[in-house]
Amino acid sequence: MSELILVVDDDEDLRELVTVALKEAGYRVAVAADGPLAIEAFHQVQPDLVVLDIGLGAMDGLEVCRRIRALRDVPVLFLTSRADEVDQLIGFAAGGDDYVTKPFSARLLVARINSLLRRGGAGSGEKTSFSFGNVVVDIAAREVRVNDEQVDLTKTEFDVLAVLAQNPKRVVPREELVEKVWGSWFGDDHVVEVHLSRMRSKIAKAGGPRVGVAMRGVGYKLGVDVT
Amino acid sequence: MTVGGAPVAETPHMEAFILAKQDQVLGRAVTALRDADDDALPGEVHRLIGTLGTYGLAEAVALLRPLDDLLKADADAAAIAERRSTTLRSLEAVVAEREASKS
Repeated sequence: MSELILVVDDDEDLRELVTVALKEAGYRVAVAADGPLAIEAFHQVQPDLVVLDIGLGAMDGLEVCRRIRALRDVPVLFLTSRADEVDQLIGFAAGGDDYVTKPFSARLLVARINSLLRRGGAGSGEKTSFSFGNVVVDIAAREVRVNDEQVDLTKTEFDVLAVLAQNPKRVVPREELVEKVWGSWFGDDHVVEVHLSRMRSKIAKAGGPRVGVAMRGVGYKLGVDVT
Repeated sequence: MTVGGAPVAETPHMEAFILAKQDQVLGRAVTALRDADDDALPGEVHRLIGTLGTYGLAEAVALLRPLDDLLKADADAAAIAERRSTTLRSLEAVVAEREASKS
C-alpha cells in the first residue's frame, strides 16, 4: 500500500491542489484545516509524512509539529509564506525536515516529499559509525551521541551530518551535499544553512565540538578529525 | 512558475487542474478581499498571495503585493482602506476580463 500523507493547511484551494498532486504521484492523502484537526487526524490515520502550513491560526504549524513529534518521529515538510517564517524555523527546536516556500510548484513539492520518504529508509553496507572527539555518529542506527548521550536531530540534520562525517578529509561541494541530502530537486540555498546551523547548535549544546564549517563559495566540511 | 529562480513545469495533469481552477480561486480571492474584517485582512491577504501564486495567477499576486506591503508596514487606516478598494476593483477587472475572453 502506498504511503499516506497528511496535508495541513487552512486554505481549501491549497489543500485541494496538494491533494491532487499527491494522488497523481500515487500517495494516499488525508487533510486537515487547522491545528486541532491535524492532531486528531494524526492519531486517526498514522501518516507516513506531514505537509504542514506554518500560518494556521490559533495553534500554528510549529506547535502542531511539536505535538506530533512528541508522539512519533514522522517526517514533516513545512509550507511557509514569508522570510520571517523561515527565521522562525531556524530557531525552532523541534525542527521540521524540510520546507517549501509559497507560492510553490506542485511538482517540486512532490519531489521533496519523495526525497524525504526515500531518505527515511536509507541504509548501506559501508562503514556506518564515525567518531570525532566525544561525538559518535551511527549511520545505521541513525543516532548521534555526545558523551554517550543521544542528541535529538531531525532526519535532515542527521543526513547533513552523516554526509560530512563520511567525507571528513575533504570539503563537500554544496551541490554534492544537496544532491545527497535532498535529491536533485532543490531550489533554495537558505535550506542548507538552516539545517546545518540547527545541527551544529544541537551538537554544541550537548557538549560537542563545532561541526559543519561553511567554506564560502566552495562547500562544507566537517571541521574535526574523524577516527 | 519559478522556484528559486528556476522554471519548474507542472505535469500535464496538474496544469489542466490548475487552469480549470483558476477562475474559482480568483473568485474566492475577490470575495475574501471584499468581506474580510479589518483585523483579519493582513492574514487574508498573506494567504491569498500564497494561494494565487501557487495557482499561477501572477497578475493577481502583483495586484495584492502593494496592499500586503502597506499592511506589513502598519500604514494608517485610510491608506489601507483606499488601497484595499483599488485592489478589489483591479481584481474584479481581471475576473471580468477573463470572463470576456471566453465569450
